[in-house]
Amino acid sequence: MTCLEPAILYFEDDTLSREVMEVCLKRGLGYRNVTIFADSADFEARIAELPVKPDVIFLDIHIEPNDGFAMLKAIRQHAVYGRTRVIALTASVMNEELKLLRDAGFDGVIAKPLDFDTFPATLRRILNGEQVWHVK
Amino acid sequence: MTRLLRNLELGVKLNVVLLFVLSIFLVSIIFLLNRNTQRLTNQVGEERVIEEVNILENRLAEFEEKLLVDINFLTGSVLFFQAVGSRNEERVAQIVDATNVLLKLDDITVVDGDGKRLVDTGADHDHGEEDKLLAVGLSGRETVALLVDETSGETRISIAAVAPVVNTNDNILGAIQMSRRIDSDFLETLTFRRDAVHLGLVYGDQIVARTRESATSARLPGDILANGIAIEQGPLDQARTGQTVILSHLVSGDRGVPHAVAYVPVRTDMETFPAVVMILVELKEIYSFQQSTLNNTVLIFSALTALAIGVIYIAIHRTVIRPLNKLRAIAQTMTSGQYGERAPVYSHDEVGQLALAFNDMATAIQQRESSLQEAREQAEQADKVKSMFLASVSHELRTPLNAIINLTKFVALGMYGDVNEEQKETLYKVEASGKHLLNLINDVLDISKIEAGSLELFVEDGLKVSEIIQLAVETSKGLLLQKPVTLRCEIEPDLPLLTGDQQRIRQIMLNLISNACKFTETGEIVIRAYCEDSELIISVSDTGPGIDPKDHEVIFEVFRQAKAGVRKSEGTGLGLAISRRLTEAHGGRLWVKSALGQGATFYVALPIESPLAVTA
Repeated sequence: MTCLEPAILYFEDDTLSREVMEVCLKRGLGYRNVTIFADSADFEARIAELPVKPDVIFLDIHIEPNDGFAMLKAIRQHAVYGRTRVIALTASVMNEELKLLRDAGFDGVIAKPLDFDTFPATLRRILNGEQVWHVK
Repeated sequence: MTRLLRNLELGVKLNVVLLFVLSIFLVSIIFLLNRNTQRLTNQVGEERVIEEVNILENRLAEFEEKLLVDINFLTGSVLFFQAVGSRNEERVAQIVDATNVLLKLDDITVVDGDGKRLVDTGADHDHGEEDKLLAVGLSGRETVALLVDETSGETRISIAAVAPVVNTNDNILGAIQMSRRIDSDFLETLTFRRDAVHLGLVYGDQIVARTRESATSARLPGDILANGIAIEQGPLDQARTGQTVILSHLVSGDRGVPHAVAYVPVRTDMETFPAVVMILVELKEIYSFQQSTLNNTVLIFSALTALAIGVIYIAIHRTVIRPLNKLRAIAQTMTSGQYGERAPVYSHDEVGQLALAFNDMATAIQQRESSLQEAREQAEQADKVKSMFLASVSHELRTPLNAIINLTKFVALGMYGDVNEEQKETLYKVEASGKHLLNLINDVLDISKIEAGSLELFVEDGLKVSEIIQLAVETSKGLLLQKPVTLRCEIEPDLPLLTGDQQRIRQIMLNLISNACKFTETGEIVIRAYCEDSELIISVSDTGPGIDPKDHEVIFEVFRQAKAGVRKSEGTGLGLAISRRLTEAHGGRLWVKSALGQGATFYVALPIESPLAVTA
């Protein structure tokens, strides 16, 4: 099932951004296994409670109470989903910020605003295990 | 010469000038001293020679007078004139010899009334001259004359007196001639100061007798009296007219010793003056005085000059050069950024004031430097704040755009229910505006970062130009839909791999290619990549409207588009400005070749050996 329809997890505090992602994934791409959280409180427990282990986790970087970097660090240390693809989804895509993301161990970045024309292809590459760092 | 002088140390330089001035001074002193001692020498010489001339003339006159007195004494003696009258040769000889014991004359000749010699004590052989003279005596007159005898191979000149021998009845019984040869010994008696005076008897063109003859005569030529001084014809001729001639100038002899010279004719009762005494007064003492005065002056002056130069050098070294060197050393440490040291102030003169002023300047610079440092830190702080501000502006603007662009698109795509064509068109316009706004934000952020100097490149190596170009071409192709424009690439195989910020290089290519696509309505766009010298050149040529050469630089300025080139205002006007700065940040160049109606070619030249370090 996961091969055809990936399980996607997304942490995002901006309401509209959540709506864009949800519409994009569910209505646009037809994925049903999409979980979106509006904050990062107690995120480890909430990830563990998920019925399906996510194939890719999108993290908003500026999120409360734990920011994207803290969440990545915790996820990477987790025994079960430590090797899940983790992609930063952020509007802060200046060079120095990209470098920070890369150094922190993200598997890639997707810039906000989301480009609906290229997003499906990018998502495919992510699921294929590629790193995605080309922003604009 | 001037260059040499310019490079000298200050003290040496001053001393060179001083030496020059003192040399002029010394030469002037020597000149004046020389002139004055010369005058003194002249004066002394003149006095001395006049003295000698007077002595000579007086003694000659006295001698002649005495000769006449002696001759009269003899002729007045009864015994003598009786002996002559009786032609008693033996008796006459006795009397003559007895008399000559006292008189010490060279020659006494007595003749009888017929002119026959009774006595002739002289060693002379030329009786002709003597006979002429005795004939005067036999005629009853007494006279003094010169007697010249050249028979013996040397010229012998004598002063001779002649008188008649008469008895008490005034009958002339005979005649007597008494003469003294003017020889070396005789000349000696005519001088006042023998040691410094030379006398020479000149007859014809030769000196026939001279004082101190025994010492020097053998080697001297006939026309040189002494110390290398020869007879001068002019004054000699003048003296032969009977005048005493004293030369108004001094004559230099051997070793430059000056001599006063006079010519005195030997005067007798004769009307001619064939014999002349040449007088040389050697001015040895005054000359040596002159020389030693000069030598001493030069010596003392030189010593004083050396001393002065030494003192001045040391003084200048202490008061000027050392403080200046110190000042220079401190200025050098200041150049290397250390402002703590201060110049020591040794004096209150100009140099000291220079040091004080220098110290004030150093303090001012130090203060300015620290306030500059402060300002720099503040500016850096401000830059940091600005960067953070830009980052958050970027973030804050992008977040709502995410919703605007995408939700509009979703509605247009019918994901929220059916929309009609007109609504769809309008929604696409909203989406396009949103995307334009996003581009604008990106460009403004880029240019602000570049202008603030805070652009950071994410440098990677091993970048493939062909891939970057292909990606940019793919992205831009959409702009050519429904336009009769072909786009092709001529990329040389085996181009070297680049080092740089991949994203930024793609941004440059995308900007150039999309510009070409936007501005070309028909024709073709060619993208070439090749190596030239040490650069990798990427060119983008189009067949668009072209750019007036006067706008070739303008188009790279911020918010400028060449008027003729602007057909659609889709761009932000920042693209080329950003591209050029990004190229330059890679150590490369970006330029355009174009003319109106000729299309345009943009060139990007990137160094193959990148100056950038790969980002860690």
